[in-house]
Amino acid sequence: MEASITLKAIGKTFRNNTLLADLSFGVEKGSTFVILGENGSGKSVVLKLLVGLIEKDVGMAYIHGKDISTRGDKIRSITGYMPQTIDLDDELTVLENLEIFGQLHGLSARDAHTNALDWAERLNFGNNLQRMPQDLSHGNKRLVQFARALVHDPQVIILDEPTKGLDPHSRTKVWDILDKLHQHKTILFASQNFAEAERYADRIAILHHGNIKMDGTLERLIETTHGLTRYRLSFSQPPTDEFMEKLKAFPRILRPQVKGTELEFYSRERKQFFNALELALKYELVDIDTSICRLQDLFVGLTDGGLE
Amino acid sequence: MSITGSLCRPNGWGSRVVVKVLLYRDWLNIKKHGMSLLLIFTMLPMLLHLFLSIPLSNIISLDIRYLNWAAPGIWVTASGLLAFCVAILRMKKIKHDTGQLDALLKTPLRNGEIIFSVIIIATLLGFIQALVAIALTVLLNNEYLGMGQILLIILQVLPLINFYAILGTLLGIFIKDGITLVSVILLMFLVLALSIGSFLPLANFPTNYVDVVSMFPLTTIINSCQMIIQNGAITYIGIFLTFLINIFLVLLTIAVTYKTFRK
Repeated sequence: MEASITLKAIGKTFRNNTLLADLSFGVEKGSTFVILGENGSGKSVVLKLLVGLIEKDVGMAYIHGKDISTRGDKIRSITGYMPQTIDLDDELTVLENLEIFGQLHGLSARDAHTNALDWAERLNFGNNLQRMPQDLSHGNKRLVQFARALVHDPQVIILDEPTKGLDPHSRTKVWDILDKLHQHKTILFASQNFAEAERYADRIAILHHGNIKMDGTLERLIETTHGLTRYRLSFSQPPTDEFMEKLKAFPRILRPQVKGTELEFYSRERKQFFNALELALKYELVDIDTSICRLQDLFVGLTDGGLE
Repeated sequence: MSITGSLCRPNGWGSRVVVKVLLYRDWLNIKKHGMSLLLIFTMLPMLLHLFLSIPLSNIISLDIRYLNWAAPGIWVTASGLLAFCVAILRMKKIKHDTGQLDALLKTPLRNGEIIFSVIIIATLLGFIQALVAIALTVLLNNEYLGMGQILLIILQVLPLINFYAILGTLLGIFIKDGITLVSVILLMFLVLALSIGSFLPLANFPTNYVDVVSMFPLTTIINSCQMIIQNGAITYIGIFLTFLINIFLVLLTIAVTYKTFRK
């Protein structure tokens, strides 16, 4: 498939802090790509860099084959960006906000007006059109921002935690819209919501300290764990030090962690689990839970020193 | 339901169109504050007349009636100050107060287009203030100004208003806090009203100071306006020099935006 967004060896430092280091990845046209990362990992920096809000120090970045350094205005006209923070124009009404930003992206006044009304209807904020943004709830402001990012019908949609601060109903609506759009648009979004990433993204990248630790489809990412399973044992009382010492003696029990009266660990081998279970039965075991390693486990493993 | 319109900045969709959209945005905002603006347009020249011209007319004696002589001071101070305030407040709001700069920068706008829109709206409002101030001083002083004189005054005052609009835009990029903003506006008022011969004749200042200040294009413009109402000889060098300074300041402002807008 044709590349929509390409980043090659991007580096960015700000006040002696490395925000992005040798960052490379690509997003195919008509696909949905998510960047997962903890706070301060550089997710927003990547998105801001693509829409030209910040400039890279080194590397190359292209959107639809156009270099973002030299063709910035052309790129921004085909891009819709929704930031994480509220940046609506507080001197204009909601409708005026949508119309002006539509026009700034090249729409005629009439088209901007039509599209603004259309998005207001789709996202159910038609009765807020004549209100000032500061009079809206946070969730409604986010919906207006979402509509503003799409009002000019962009080919590339870049969203920074798009459902943050939205109620479940609005969240579903936003994803329904993106689900419909994703057939003929490129969608790149940053998130900390693993369920949304698993459900909606075609490809997932895990960003840590400004670098992509791993990227690929969900299936491929899960495959890399080679059948790693998470086990959770619940006791009537917190596991004793003696129990933990004995458990650590088993060779392939990974990341054993005590959380209150629960013990959590990972392993690829059932036999190791049975050994642990045999030991646990001597210590007032209450419950057992096992689950195949998911994206969140992989993320924690990759960004917190590794599972192994 | 359908989404209509073009997909990208079409060819020929140039700066003129974008600046027009930004000016339309400012117009939408001005409409909401129409009454306050109208109040400022009328109160500013009237207060200058009441609290500066009238008291000073009892102290300063000139060959011509002081109130008539000081009228250009009212035009220049009111319009220059208004243009300066509009520009500095708008730029400060865009750059520091809200996320508006990021919102604008993610559109296909270029830095220069944002700057031009601020300068144009500030100059335009300053120009309207100048017209209102001229009308008010004519009424208050029972003065007669012919159409030719008014056109000459506009020709002289416009570059000065433009200068203050550009200066306000440039300073608005740097000024973050309210105290600095108030100090700068106050300083600008003192410079405009009291230091370049608007209300106080330069003859009352030390000779060395007058020698320096007389070389300022702004002083020349004010002096020319005073000569227009006296039917005296006027000079156009002030307009020309102010025009050159304005071009330099615009280029400097745009250069500054490239250093400060996109981090």
